[in-house]
Amino acid sequence: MPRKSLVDVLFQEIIDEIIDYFEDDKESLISCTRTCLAFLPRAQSHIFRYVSITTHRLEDPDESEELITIPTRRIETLSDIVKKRPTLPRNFRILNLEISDDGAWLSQDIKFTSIMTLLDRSKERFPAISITGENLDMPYVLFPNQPEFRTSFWKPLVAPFVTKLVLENFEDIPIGIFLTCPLLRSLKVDFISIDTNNTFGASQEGGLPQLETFEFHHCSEAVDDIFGLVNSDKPHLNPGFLRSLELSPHGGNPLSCSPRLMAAAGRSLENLVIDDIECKESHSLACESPNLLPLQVALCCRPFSI
Amino acid sequence: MLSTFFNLSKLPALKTIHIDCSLYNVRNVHPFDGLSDLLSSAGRSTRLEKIVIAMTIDPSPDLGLDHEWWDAKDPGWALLDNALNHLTTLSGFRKLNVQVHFMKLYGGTSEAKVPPTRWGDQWEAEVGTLDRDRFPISFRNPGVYFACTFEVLEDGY
Repeated sequence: MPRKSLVDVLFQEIIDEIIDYFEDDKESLISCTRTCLAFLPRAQSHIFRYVSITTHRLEDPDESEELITIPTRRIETLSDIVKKRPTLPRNFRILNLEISDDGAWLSQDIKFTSIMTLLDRSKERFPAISITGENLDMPYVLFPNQPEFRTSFWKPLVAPFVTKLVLENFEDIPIGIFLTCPLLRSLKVDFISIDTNNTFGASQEGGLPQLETFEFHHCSEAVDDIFGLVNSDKPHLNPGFLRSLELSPHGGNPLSCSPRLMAAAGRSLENLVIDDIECKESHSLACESPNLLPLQVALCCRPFSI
Repeated sequence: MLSTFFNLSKLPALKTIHIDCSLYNVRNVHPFDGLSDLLSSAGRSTRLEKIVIAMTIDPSPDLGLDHEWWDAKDPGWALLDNALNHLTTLSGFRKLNVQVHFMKLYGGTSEAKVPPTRWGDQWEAEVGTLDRDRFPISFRNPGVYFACTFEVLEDGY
């Protein structure tokens, strides 16, 4: 009589708990998925907490240039995995979407839309959504502006549920992107600009978001626009709910909005994160401009003579 | 100064400050300088409870750094000490947790073989248990907990 494997006699809950010990060890988790079917569901749950759908790059032999295509292959691979286990998207905690062109696939790719409908919709477990512009030729990518982006992607699949949002390398993000997310509590922006006239069809019905955590880099002007710090007549978020602020005072004068932001949010702020303090000679020279004068003193570094 | 932008006396609810300083700019600024200036702006109603300072360091000659600047002899420590003293004499002061975390890059490379002073030690002290010969903070006021840790990042970051 063949001897039973230890896996056959263990409860699945115990196996799952053992797999949980590899929570932060992706290599081991991948090995688990290849080792035993009983290991697969729990290991997959951990592996797919962070899902990144990025642009696919190909070398063009004729042009000797790098081509960027929409991430069709990645979506198909993910779709195949999800077909076998439709509950898998409920484990997504961070969903990173990289856009290199007009981002039409966000609203037009049926397989991607299908995956999005399977995300956990609860306030606690809906994944953080990160949308990043990626273009080798330009520092910014124009934020998707086709009507389908709003009607088929943002409004039904993201806006009502998202609590954490990251936007990077985009030009002309409609201010309404934020106004349409009533549950939004955490926002990170990096290298972006805002279109303050585009409300994206926002209405007050669901209530405006009460942002508690905010992180910004390289986009001081956008911060002014997001919180209406310069022109409060334009639609904007209320900075009065901010509890945590993270910023990096280096390069590109990212601090110019800070006095205004502090005046608007300073009394409620509990946590301040200052990342990458920098002082380089070029910045001191830049301080010849009266507007940048405080920066010269702000970085009152001892000049290390190295 | 940093306090020009973040005047702590106007941030009465502030409980934690976290400052990072990464490898590519450590030769230009010491995090203690900015932090000391920031702490000096705290007012009597401060509720500050925790300060975390994270620094990436590497004594590689290629980077033009030696280990002096994070050593206890570096004047940045004296600045921080004075700023902490200011903070802890304010009327709103109750307790303060200060954590300094040094991270060394390229732990797996030959550059890591240069042993910095006290590398691998962990400084941890409260008032009364302080070894003043090796610890650069004077703790003139009670209620301060100070921890200094080191970490080697195997593959850089």
